[in-house]
Parts: sequence; structure tokens; C-alpha cells
Amino acid sequence: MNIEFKASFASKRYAKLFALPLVSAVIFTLLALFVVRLGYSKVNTDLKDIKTAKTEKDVLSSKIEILKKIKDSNLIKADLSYIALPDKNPGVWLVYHIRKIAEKYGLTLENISFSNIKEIETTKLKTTEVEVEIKSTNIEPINNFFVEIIKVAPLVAVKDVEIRTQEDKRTLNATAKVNIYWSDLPGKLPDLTEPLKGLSENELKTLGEVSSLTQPNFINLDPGNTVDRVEPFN
Amino acid sequence: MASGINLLPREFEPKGSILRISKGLKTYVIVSGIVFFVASILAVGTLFMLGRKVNTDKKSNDQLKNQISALKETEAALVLVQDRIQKINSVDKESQAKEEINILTEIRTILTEGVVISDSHLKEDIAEITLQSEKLTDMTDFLNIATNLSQFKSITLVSFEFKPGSGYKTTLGFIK
Repeated sequence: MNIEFKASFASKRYAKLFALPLVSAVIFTLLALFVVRLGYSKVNTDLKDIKTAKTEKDVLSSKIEILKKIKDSNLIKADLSYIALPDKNPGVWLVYHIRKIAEKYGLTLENISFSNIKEIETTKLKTTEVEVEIKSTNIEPINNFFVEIIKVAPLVAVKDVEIRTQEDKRTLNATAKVNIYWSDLPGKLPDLTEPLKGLSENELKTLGEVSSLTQPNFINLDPGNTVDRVEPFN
Repeated sequence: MASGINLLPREFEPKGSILRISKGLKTYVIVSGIVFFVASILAVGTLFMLGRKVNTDKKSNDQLKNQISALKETEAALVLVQDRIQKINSVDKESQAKEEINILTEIRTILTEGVVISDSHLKEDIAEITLQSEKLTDMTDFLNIATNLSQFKSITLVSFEFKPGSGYKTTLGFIK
């Protein structure tokens, strides 16, 4: 009986001695683990956000700087580059140039025909072949015609020129195969946070060359007024 | 004077080692409590500062984005120009008879007396020009000048013929 009383008393006494510190230690440890885990992940996220924001800020600032510089200067010649390579078949512009240059050098325009529209697989450019036939009594205007034709906008690539003296020994007949090109416009602007490159030296050089090309004197062909015709087949 | 009277029998008193452990545990709890408290204040402060920095950076970036939106037209023009230039360069790389047209111009300028260009075939890699003359000396004079020109990579004699009615006819292939 005495022994039982002693044991119960001792256990109560020890429990009183250890219970509070042990419970507190456990609570603090758990709390510390929770706080460290939560804090670590939050700090990590914030640091990552700050780093991303810094990178984004650098990109945006450089983008603004490039755009402001371009806006203030006269570097962008979007209309000229568009006429050089439009998004639709520029055949009408080429016909305009051919007629104008032929007239300038007193050439007889025998034929202009378009054929074989295709897409170049590697560059996704669309192209069509134009066959031009002109006549003159002298080689000089024929030569000048081709020298000028390679300097017009839209861009042309003269592929083949054949100049033959006709049977009358006086007339020269020239047949040329010329290619013209067009391509779809870029569909969308790059993302706001995507870095932007300004115009490089090479791009500026190409732009300079493009701006020296002879432009057509019209961009759009507006439809004229319709007139009622009594006899539409005649 | 004594601080208190212990009425508990000695046998019921906890052992010295147990008391030491209990005391150590208490000290640990107090110290860790203080450390936890201080660390928590520091952590909350740090998180607050970082949060503020994140918000400030985001606001500043939003302002920059607004500025870019105001420059959208310029950006669109730049993107268009860069796209066109890239494609224009690929057209320029296409083989064409541009150089051969210039060769014909150059040959025209060095034509000697009595020699005329009767035919030409300007291809993507060669300019074949046919020249005609009544006298052989006129033709040789021209050939002397043409073959001494340094701007051509090669000059090939494609054909040479003589007809009593029309004279001498030479076709030369010029490559630059």
C-alpha cells in the first residue's frame, strides 16, 4: 500500500516536472518547422518574382528605347518595304513599270503574260512568272529597258533575256522571263515581354537599297463608277 | 531566514539527475521560444519587404507595358519591315540575270567601229553575246579589247562563223 502510494506520487511529480516543457518544446518545434517551410517557400517565390520582374524590366526598357529611337528617326520605311514585297500579287504594278519604261525608250510592247503561280517551299514566298516581249530597231533601248526593270519596286528577278535580230535585219526582238514575288504579312506582334531587336546594319543597308527602287505611282486601284450599257456584248 | 519549508519527505523528492533534465528542458523551451519569436519577427519583416518590392516591380513593369502599348504602331512597322527585309534578302539570293544585263551594257560601251551586237542570251550564270562584223580586222580589234578586260571571270568563245553574205559572227560567253 505504501509502495503503491509512493509510485503514484512520483509519477505525478515527474509528469508535473516534464509535461509543460515537453509540450511547449513539441509545439515550438512543430511551429518552427511549419514557419520555416512556409517562409522558405514564400521567400523563394518572392525572390523568383523579383528576378523575373528585373529581367522583364530590362527587356521592356530596352524595347521602349529601341521603339522611341525608331519613332524619332526616319528609319522605318514600312510602306517602301511593303511595295517592294507586298502581300498580294503585284502584277499590276509591274505592268505599270513595263509600259512606262517601254514608252520612255520608244519600245514596242508585244506581249506581257503571267503564268505559273507557285509558292517557294524554303522561303514561303509566292511567285509568278511574267513573260515580256518587246521590239526595237536598236539594242540600246532594249538594254536600258532591262537595266531599269531590275530597279523597280515590287522586286523582280529577271531570269532570262533573249535578244534576237529578226529576218528583216533591222528589228531586234527581246523576250524576257521575269519573276515577281509577294508574301503574307506577319500575323501578330511579338509578346510584350519578348525582346525586340532594332534594325541591324545589314537591314538598314537593304532598306536603303529598297528605298532607291522606282516606285509605282499608285498603290491601290480604286473601282470606277459603273455605267449601264445597253449592249453588254458589244 | 529560510525561503520556505519543505514538508515533503525526502524519499518523495525527485532525483537530482531528473531535476537537471527538467531544468535543461525548461531552458531549451525558453531559448527556443525567444529564438522562434525573434526569427518570426525577422521572417515577417523580410516577407513584408520582399512583397513590397515585388509589388513595386510589378507596378513599374505595368507602366513600361503601357508605354509599349502606346508605341504599338511603331512596333508593328518595325516587325513588318524586319519581316519584309528578311524575305527581300531571300529574293536577292535567288539566281537571276541581273549581272548579265550589266555585262551587256558594258560590252555595248566598248564596241569598236564596225562591230554590232546581233543577238544576246542573258542567262542566270552567263551572258552569251553574239557580235557581227563585215571585216575580220574589226572583229579582232574588238576581241583584243574584250579579252583584256579584267572585270570578267572568264570569256568563252562559244562560236565563230563566217558567211560571205553577212561577214563574221562570233558568240562570246561572259561570266563575272
